[in-house]
Amino acid sequence: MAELDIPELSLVLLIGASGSGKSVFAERHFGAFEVISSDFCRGLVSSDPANQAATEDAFEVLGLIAAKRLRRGLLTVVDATNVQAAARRSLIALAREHDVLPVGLVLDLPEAVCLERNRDRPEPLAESAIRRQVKSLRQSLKGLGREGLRHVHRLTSPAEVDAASIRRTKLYNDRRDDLGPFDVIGDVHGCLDELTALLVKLGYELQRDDGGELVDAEHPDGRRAVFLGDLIDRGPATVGTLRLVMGMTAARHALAVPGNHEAKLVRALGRGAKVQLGHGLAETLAQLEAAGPEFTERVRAWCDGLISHYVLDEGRLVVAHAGLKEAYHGRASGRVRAFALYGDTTGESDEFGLPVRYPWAEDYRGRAMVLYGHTPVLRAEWVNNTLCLDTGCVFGGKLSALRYPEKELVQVPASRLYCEPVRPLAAGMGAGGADADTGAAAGAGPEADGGRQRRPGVLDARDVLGKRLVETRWAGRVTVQAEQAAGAFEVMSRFAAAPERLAYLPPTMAPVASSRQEGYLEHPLEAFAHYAEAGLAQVICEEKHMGSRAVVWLARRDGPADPGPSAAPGAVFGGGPGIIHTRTGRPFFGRELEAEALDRLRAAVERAGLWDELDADWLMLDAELLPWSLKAEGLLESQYRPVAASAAAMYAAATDALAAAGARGLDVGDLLAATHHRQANAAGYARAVETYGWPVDGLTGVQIAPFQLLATNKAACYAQSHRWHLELADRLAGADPAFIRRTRRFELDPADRPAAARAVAWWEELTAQGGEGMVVKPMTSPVRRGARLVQAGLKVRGREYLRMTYGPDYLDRLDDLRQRNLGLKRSLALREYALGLEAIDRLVAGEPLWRRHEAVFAVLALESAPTDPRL
Amino acid sequence: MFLTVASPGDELSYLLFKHPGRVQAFDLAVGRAWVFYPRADAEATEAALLVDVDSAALARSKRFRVSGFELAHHVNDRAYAASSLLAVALGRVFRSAMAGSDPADRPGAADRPRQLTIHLPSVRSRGGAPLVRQLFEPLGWAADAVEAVPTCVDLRLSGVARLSTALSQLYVLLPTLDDSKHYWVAEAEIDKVVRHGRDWLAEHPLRDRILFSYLARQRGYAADAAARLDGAAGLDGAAPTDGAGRPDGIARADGAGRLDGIGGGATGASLDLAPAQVPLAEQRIRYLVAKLRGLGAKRVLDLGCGEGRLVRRLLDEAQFEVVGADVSPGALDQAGRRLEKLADRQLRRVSLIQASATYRDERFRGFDAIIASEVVEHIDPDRLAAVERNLFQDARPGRVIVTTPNADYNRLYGLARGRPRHPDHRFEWTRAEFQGWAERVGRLGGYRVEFDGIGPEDPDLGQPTQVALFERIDVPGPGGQAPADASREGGHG
Repeated sequence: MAELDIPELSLVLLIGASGSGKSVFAERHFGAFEVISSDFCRGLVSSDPANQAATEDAFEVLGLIAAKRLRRGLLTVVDATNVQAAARRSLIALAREHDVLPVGLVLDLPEAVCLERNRDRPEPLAESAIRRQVKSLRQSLKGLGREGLRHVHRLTSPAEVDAASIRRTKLYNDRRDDLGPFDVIGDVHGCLDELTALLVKLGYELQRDDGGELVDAEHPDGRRAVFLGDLIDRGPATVGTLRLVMGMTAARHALAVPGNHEAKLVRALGRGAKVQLGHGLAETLAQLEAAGPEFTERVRAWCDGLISHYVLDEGRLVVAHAGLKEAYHGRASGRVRAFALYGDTTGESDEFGLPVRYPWAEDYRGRAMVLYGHTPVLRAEWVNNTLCLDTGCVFGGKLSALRYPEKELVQVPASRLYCEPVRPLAAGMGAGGADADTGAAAGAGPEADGGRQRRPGVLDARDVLGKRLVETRWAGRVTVQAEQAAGAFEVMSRFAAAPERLAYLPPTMAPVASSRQEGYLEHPLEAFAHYAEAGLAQVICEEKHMGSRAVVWLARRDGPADPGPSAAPGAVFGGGPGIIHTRTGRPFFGRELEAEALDRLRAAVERAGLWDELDADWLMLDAELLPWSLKAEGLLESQYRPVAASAAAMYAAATDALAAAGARGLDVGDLLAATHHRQANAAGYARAVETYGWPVDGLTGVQIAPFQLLATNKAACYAQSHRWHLELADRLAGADPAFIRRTRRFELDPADRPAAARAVAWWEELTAQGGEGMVVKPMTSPVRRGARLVQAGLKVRGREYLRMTYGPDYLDRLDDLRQRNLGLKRSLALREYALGLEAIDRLVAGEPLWRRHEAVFAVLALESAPTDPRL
Repeated sequence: MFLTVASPGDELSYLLFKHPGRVQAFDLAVGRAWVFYPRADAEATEAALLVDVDSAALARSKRFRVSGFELAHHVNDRAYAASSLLAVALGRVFRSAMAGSDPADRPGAADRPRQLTIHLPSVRSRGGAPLVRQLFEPLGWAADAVEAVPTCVDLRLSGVARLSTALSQLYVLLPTLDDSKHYWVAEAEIDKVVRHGRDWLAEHPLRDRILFSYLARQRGYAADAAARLDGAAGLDGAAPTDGAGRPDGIARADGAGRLDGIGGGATGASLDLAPAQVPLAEQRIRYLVAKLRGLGAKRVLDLGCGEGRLVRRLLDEAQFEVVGADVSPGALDQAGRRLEKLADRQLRRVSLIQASATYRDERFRGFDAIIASEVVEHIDPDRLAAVERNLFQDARPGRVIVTTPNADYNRLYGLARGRPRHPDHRFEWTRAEFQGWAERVGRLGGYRVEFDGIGPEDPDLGQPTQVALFERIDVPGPGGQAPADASREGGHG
């Protein structure tokens, strides 16, 4: 019984005349969606599977379906006769285009069998056609391998066909089931001393043979080294390095991928090939010659057998000498190998005669971490979840390893400069690194990787436009519709702070359910009921300051700061002290005033001793900035004050006139009373409007009320209890009481009725003093009830304050207003909350800018949906 | 909303057809109105109209809808300030008085001018007290207008006039002051304004502005109404009121021009009206089209195309294939409308895309020229670096043309130092700043740069628009080397 090996990811061409049993075979051995048959496609486009006139259209559809499947990494079987070389050629090209292996499965059955089966069909083909097909197939058989098919399996009799079975084999590069942990080591280039020092530093135990040569290194915890290629050339001890690494791989203590130097060595040691002996190859060959022919042959075979890249740890880690773009992960083709060995070359050369490499890492948007070497850099620096570990040891730099999955960099310095680099190692690299985010403005000349600056912060329109699904830790997948993204794109581009300075946007807040209490639209009891029902034992009522929501991202000191522990260093704060921005991402102040405000906050954090206590280099605060009129002056001017003024003027005249008419003996009683009532409503409105604005001069008169520490560079803090957050805020307020405002609060068990009554009284008092109201929050958030996230807060606005949102007379039509629909606002609040937390998590985890921006952008996009602004 | 009308003697109540001894109520579409008399004796009569607007009903009304969900839609001064709502109430409640009907027993009374005092404690005026005076004083009223806040005016009119004329004037001028209508303006409104304005509007110095505002800024309607008012005057022979016999046509030769000025004046149209005849924006377009033609550019990207004026003009020349890119979906919609009527052959050469210069975009690649005309000054300085990168390092077209205001020139516009021409300008560069920027960007990206200007030239301050013309410096690579070989043999790593 024949077992036919087929790579797990391949394009399988069934090849055989009509009647050879392809469809039956395919159905038996492959999944329903894996097989695309030409007859089926003829049916799709013409409603007749046998319609030969539809063949061209049918194959177009077939090719499209196959292409989509291959792009997704799915095995695909083409059920067509494929007896013509031309037909196979286009399919083989398709496989190459998607970097999967094309496989031929030939059903080479006797012509008589095919003819007989054809006669049994309801609509038999012309026998001459089948004879022609069989003839074409026979003519093709010899050349199938040369056409580019990687495997060709041939079955020649019905018995063989029946007996055959399919075995799906993994690709060599597929080591997804190898979970590590690993220590991934950059380009060694014969620097054996540094390599041994590094292995020791990583905790490996070295083993020597009887002659004292290093032949293995083993980690007591079972960790394994992964060598990123270019073990040889240029350095002093190529042979020793090879001996050690070959020993480690043989003992399964290490994996290795080849570098371009190994590939070249294989060619140099092969027969006939002529290679240039530059870049240290001549010395390597000399050392090998001294080591003897047997060792040399082992080296050649070992290097020749190396797999150009590996996919490890469930697909979370990819290693290749020169890196690998996402479309090539786990694929197999000549160009995949070329990319892995040489990188993405543009075909141009720079002024040193070295190839210009396309900065593929800037475009990288994959989830897998990619570790690579090849291009010496001064500093190992994350670019979109990729890291180059060639820190130029042989050029006098460092030998670097990354502990995976810990993402911890371990380095040893070169003991000396072994080789002068063709291009000065330092040229432009420092500038490109330090100013990665400010790009061209600050960057100097070309950088090591090919005359282009390394730019971890490059955002692409494709990162945000169109319909998007954003994965969040707290609420699963959040959908952003294309038109929402389009709206946010404009706002983000025109008005928001630069994306690298905009790490978080706060969510909208849902109001409490409409109250059934007489005379109230919003009342604390509904909020308590909401959380009691959600099963929470403790909530906190926080005074709602009538200001504008503000996010403060504050650096401990000026200058470049890292967004997180493992992210690329970049000028996140543009070299300044940080940013204060609104809930739509606009900076609150001009640069000077912002710097002054941040300085003041920084000093307060210092005085409160929080920098040291939190061990933080930056922190991010959620806050309210007062007065409201600071940001809303335009709205006050155009909207609120005219309403108050015209109502006052009108009612003054109207009540006078009615009183005069009454004095004449007219019956104006009801009308006068009603008008007086409306006049009083309008006065209440005017009072509310004027409560929340006061003049400011520079920072004088401005206050900030922080109420939550969202994160520091060390950790996300949002999940701390609100008591913790507010105690921290109290200490800041204590350090600068004139500028930092304290937030009053009231804690209770929402199910405890007497406590609830006291909280209501507290709220009544707060709002009677002119307070906007309060926000009731779970003591600790985020919290789930079942699978659903619980609202992070419900606002309960004061009775008088609500005149501003619902109009002076809103209390007279409460029954109407109670019908307000809160569903959309609540759902929006939850989704934005989850996205905001996601943005913080991504920031603290040091994820690439495009990932951070994705979450922030999504908040803004959701905000572009039309909702009732009064909620 | 509230209004009182007072007049000496006791005839007013007859002219209003409302009994002075009663409080009368009327149901209106937008709420309820009452008429009552605070005073009614032999010496003087004062009538009051109180309208209680049902704000909630108004908010629900589709006709009044401004846009989706603005807060202004829910909380506004409509209930209090006199506006088109009051005008409609006047028309309903005092219909006979406004039509100039005589009371049954007093023939000729309606036609008699009389001393009138009209008090509107709260009038919504977009132009504040000055606009109120400009509208009412030419009609012979003494207008005592006091602003409570800039848009809310307490107005007391006194003068001698027919009551029907006074009411008609309020009917037309209240919506004009407010410059917004609570209902949809259709062609029937032309009849109304002509009817109500027949006696006085034709000669009003702000006639065109009044028509434009009253007819909800529809130029066609306004022109139509103006023609009909002129016609009405012509039919009557002599001008109806002052008898000066001034030929209308000549007096209003500048009518159309004034309409323009009123339309956009307050809403931040940029100060592009250069001293020259041709507006600066138009000069820029002509310059750019000529420049691109001269360069032999074929594929052109207009980055920040706005409403597509340049795109449209480029399509008139067969050599150009044009992509218009803008970050604003609204602007792109308008640009799309501008292109709607083009021939298929032209449409095939154009596409519009939403894109932002601050995001790298593969759609920016492969152009002969990218135009960024009056764009950079709308970008915050801390985001310019991304724009430079995306254009000069990533898109790398053969040419880049950047135009931007010359801040040196602003003095000639009478702008204070540091004041931008447009509120959305994040900065405006002097010539030295612009040239410093362009030279640095060009150097980094490998572009040669030359400078030019658009608009009338001042010997010291230059031209109002400055231009940087970038040309990519193409270094011929070491020829014939296949990419793969180059990397294999020359590999650094």
